Amino acid sequence: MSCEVGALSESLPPELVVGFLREQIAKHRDRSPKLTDGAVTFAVTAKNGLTDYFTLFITASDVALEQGAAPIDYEGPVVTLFGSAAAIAGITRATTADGIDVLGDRTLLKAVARCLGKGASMFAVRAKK
Amino acid sequence: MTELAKVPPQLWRVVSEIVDASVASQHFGKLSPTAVTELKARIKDDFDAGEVGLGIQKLLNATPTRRARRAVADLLDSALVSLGVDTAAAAANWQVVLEQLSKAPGLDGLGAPNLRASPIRDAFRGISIRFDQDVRSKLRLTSLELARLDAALKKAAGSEQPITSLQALEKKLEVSKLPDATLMGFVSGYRKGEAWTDLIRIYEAAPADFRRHPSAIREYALALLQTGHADRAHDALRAAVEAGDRSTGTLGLFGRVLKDRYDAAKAAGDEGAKKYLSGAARTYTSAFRRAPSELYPGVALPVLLEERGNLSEAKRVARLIFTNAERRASFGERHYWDAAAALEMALVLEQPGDAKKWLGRALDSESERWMRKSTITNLTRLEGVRQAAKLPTTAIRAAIEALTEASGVPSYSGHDNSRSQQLSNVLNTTYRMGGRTAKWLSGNYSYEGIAHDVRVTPADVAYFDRVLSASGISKLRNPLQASAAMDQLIRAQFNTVEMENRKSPLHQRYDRVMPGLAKLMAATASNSQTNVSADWINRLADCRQHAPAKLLLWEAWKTGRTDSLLNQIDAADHSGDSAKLAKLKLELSALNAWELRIMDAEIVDAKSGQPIEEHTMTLLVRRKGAAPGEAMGELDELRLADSFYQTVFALGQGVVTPSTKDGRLWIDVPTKGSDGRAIAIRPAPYSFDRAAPSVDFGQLDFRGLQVASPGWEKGISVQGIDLKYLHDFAARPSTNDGPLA
Repeated sequence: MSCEVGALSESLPPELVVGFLREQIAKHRDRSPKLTDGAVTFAVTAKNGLTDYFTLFITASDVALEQGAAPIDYEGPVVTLFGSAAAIAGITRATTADGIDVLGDRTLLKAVARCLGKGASMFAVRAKK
Repeated sequence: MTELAKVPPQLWRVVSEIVDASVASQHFGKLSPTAVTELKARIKDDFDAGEVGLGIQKLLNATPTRRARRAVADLLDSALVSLGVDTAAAAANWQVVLEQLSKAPGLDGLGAPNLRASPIRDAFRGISIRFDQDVRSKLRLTSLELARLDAALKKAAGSEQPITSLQALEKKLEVSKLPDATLMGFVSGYRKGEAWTDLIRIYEAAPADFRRHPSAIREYALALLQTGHADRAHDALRAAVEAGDRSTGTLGLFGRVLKDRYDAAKAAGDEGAKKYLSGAARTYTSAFRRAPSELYPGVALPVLLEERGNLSEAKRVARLIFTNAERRASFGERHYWDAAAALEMALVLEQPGDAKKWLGRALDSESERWMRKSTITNLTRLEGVRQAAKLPTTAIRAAIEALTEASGVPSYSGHDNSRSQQLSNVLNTTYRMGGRTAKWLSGNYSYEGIAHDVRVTPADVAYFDRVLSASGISKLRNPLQASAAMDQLIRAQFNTVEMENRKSPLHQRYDRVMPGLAKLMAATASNSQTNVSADWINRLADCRQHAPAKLLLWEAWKTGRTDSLLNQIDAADHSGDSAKLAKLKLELSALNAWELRIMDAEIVDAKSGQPIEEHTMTLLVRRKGAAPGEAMGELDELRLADSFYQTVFALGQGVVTPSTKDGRLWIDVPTKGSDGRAIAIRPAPYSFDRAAPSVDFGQLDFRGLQVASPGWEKGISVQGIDLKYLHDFAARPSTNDGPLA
């Protein structure tokens, strides 16, 4: 059973795409009861070549979106996804998430992927513990 | 006997490339190709025998001068660090390092990146690195780690208890492995919170490279002073000065240490106190003579000279500083330091009318408490000296009291309101940088996908000084001749004749390489700046690189000319040649009236107003002269002075008349476009001064990545570097967004 995932235009600014992911995680976190702590950083490369960092900080009560990478002194589980804006938007369209390189905590990623419904393909790219 | 570790091939490759780079930079003097081959063979023999230290010694011994030796040693340091070699450990025991290198060859694997190293950094120092997928992966991970460090630092510095947060963060990190920019972030954070002992601790734990940065040494010395360690501050600054740092900042602080020592010794009744006073005066004089167009630290000099009994010299220096302060104030920007310097000098010179005028200006300029406190300290010193000599001090006391009660909030905003509408129209839609406040960044932001915020630091000014001197332009006296010569130099550097044609192979390559570089270096929107010198060294440029390069050359030329004229004025004053003095002052005013400014413009069809092209260009603005110290509020002449478009569009020279159309500045161009259409220039909607203070400390940044640490401005060739390998890699389609694995 998957989460409800809406279609997003690739032309949307990355912060809106990541904001949408935040909503999905917040809405469907009951499907991943273990998802109580973590930071998911999206390193989004825009068409102009610039990389922007956005981080979803997940706590028991909230999923907060902040601009910037997870700070180096953040002590919870961390996942970083490197990808183009189009590939990151692709996650939300339930297509395979080719072109996304994933580094970080396997357990956290699995839990996030479950929340995103079709995110399993993203998980298949590469996860490092 | 234990078996010696084999020298890894990547170490030999790097050393071999250092030999090539050093030959190209003439660090070995004139060396024949045969001699180069022989040198390489001798080093290789040592490497093959496992004697790395001996081989490296042979490399360094091949340099004929101490300076060349240092340049080659710097290259070597940089290259070794990029391979992951701990240079301090290597100096002690190469065998351990070789074993580590053999187990984990530098560019393989995606482990934690070494944040003090970067292949791009070495590319910018003239060492060719073979760029491959691993290099890209490493750069991306480095970029992520830097972004994480940056986020942690910002979070700590912006917290409610910044010092506690910074201390906690510092404990979690290994200070000896932090990159320079992060270390400087800590130093700045501790300074802002006046956490002097923390500042001293982190400086002393930082790597030796960082501890050699002039700005880091200055911060350290300041912290030592604040904690009562004047002797150690003195030693640190003296070592910096002896190592060749003659910057006004370092000399000014060193002068202050000596001045404080004099005060302490005098208060203690020490008979040797006067030697500190002489030392302080000598240091301040050295800084002042080096850059008379600057106000700091020369402004402290006249009072010290008077205290020493050199009355005529004190007056002479004060007259020169007063002339310079009036010159600086004539732009009408109402900077506090200009007014305060003129006030102090007027009081030294006992010119009550001028003192009253400049006190009024100082009170009506935006200032912070510490700024006014600095002026009050100088004036209190002057008051003490005059009281000791039984001279009147009423005017000095009045100024001290007025400044003590001042709020620092001016009655106007920004600048004198005496500016004409025509001049305002030009100034409001153009900008300049690097002149009066070097640490600014600005530029044509995010145009057609390539962000181009341009950094300018004092190191850039030093580098462009070298470029200017090497070209011979610094000897030219006429602004228009100098501008034309700069165009010639820039166009040769960037091959502009070909770049003007957007369909030329070179322009096509530019279009592929520049976005590729941004991707390769994983620049972010908030950290995508490039640096005017990095662009010059890169030698690949469209109008966005041409305009800042011209501005820096212009500022270097104008500053050099101003310094030269001020020194001549001083000499004429000293010899009592009043006719020559008056002539030189007129020449200074005429030079001062010229400014080079950048406009983010639209080239439009003059009849229909339809845009033809967006363009970043330079214009020469001449203001009408005004009485000394008064603002030049009228536009006298506006000239095209573009170094990029001189063939496709004739924007290189010619007087133009600014007008207004639909509320926007409009400039008709006297010559037609290449298709025969009449063209005009108007500012793009985003053309305004976006200059902002930056936290640069002289490092060279390129597309969001630090490619060199302070000191680069003395070593990198003024012609730039052949970065073909880097450009080829950035131009490859495979640098797009494919998976890393």
